[in-house]
Amino acid sequence: MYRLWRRRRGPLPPPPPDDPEDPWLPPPLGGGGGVCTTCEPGDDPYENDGDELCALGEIAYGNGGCIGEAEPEPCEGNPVKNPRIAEQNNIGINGGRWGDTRSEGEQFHSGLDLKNDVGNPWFSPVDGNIDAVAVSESRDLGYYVTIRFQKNGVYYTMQFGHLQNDSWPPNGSTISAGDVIGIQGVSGNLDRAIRQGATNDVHSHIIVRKRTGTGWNTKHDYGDPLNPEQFIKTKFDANGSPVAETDC
Amino acid sequence: MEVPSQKQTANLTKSDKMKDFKRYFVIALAGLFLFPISTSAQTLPLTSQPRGNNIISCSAYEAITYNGHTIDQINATEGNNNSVQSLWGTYSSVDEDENVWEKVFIYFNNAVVFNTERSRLTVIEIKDNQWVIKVLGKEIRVGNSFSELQQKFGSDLKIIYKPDINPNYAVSFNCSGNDFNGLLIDLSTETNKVVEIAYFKNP
Repeated sequence: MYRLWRRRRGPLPPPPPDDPEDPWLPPPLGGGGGVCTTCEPGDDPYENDGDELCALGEIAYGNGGCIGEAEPEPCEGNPVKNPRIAEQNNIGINGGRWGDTRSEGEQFHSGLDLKNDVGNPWFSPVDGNIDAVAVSESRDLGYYVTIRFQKNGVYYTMQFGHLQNDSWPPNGSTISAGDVIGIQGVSGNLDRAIRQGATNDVHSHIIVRKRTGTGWNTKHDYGDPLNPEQFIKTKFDANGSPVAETDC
Repeated sequence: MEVPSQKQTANLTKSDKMKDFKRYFVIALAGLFLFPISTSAQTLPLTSQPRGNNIISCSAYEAITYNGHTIDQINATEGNNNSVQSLWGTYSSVDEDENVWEKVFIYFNNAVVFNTERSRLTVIEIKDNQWVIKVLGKEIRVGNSFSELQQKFGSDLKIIYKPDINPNYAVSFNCSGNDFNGLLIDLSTETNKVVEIAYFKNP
């Protein structure tokens, strides 16, 4: 009967979106994606040197998950390949940039909004370690991960918001540039902003701060948010378009 | 008393079966017609309402009250514990996540959230019917049905539905040109009733 139906009707229709076998669905978080269930923390996702438990073509993330290599490897210094600024529907691309870019310059935007698709990974643009992770969903920034890194002898933090829950490496772990540090979600206020139409672009809000104190407390030992564009490889011109020679 | 013969019993059973079949056939036929009608009635807002934000004047938008207070009044507290309590009384708890400069005041099932770096309100989440908002002087609370909202704001009330982002549909009020914050009133697609009211700062 099934064969007859196929012969008469042609190929089967695509599976429904909630079909767990649907290859386009992001894998479940916290392990279990693809054929593997655990990965060694700190595994280089691009080397298959025998100690990885993720299948070839998959990359490790979080505390033991594997995800299909949906995004090609970004060049060193970028958190995603060919980063693009997320647009605000009212004011365009500048609304996704750091600074007094909202409400006709009257409202400060503390970070850089870079686009990514839901379920796709974010990569560390720097060597460093995981400084903080969300223990619960921030109502504004959503699920987040914070990296601590050094540049010219000065410590900074780089924070990625609107991620999926539990998609980051263990808190305190050492990471290298190119390691997966989280998976894009719509957590926090991003869900509401997209539904209301403030923006159509799924993105991570990226905040960079310089260590100014003697301790390591984010609130007390780090300064005001800096422009994250200084800390990624791709540069953007005045219109928010990537400068060709830096885009990779 | 006359006892029916075996043949008569068989005939009666056959006749009963025919009657039963007809009865079930009529019920099934009615079901075929009535099911789509009841389904479409339940999903009426999703199929019939215009889409988008409900734009009101900016003065009306700024006059929206959240359990009795405007956004300006709430912002004026700068997230100070005593000042927040002066608006809504003693909170159930207050939590702070220093990693994201966020302070959350919990009032039972409702939350009022401030960014402590800017001392600005970022979120109000209302999830029970004890807290009420007023838009254009009309009350909205959790549990209101979509038809009640239509009675208050007009039958052409616009809705937002983006199931790839969130399974609920929503009614949004905003003022023209405002890109800084918003108000979303979430309704369940199953009950067509308000399940959450949220003020949010555009992230």
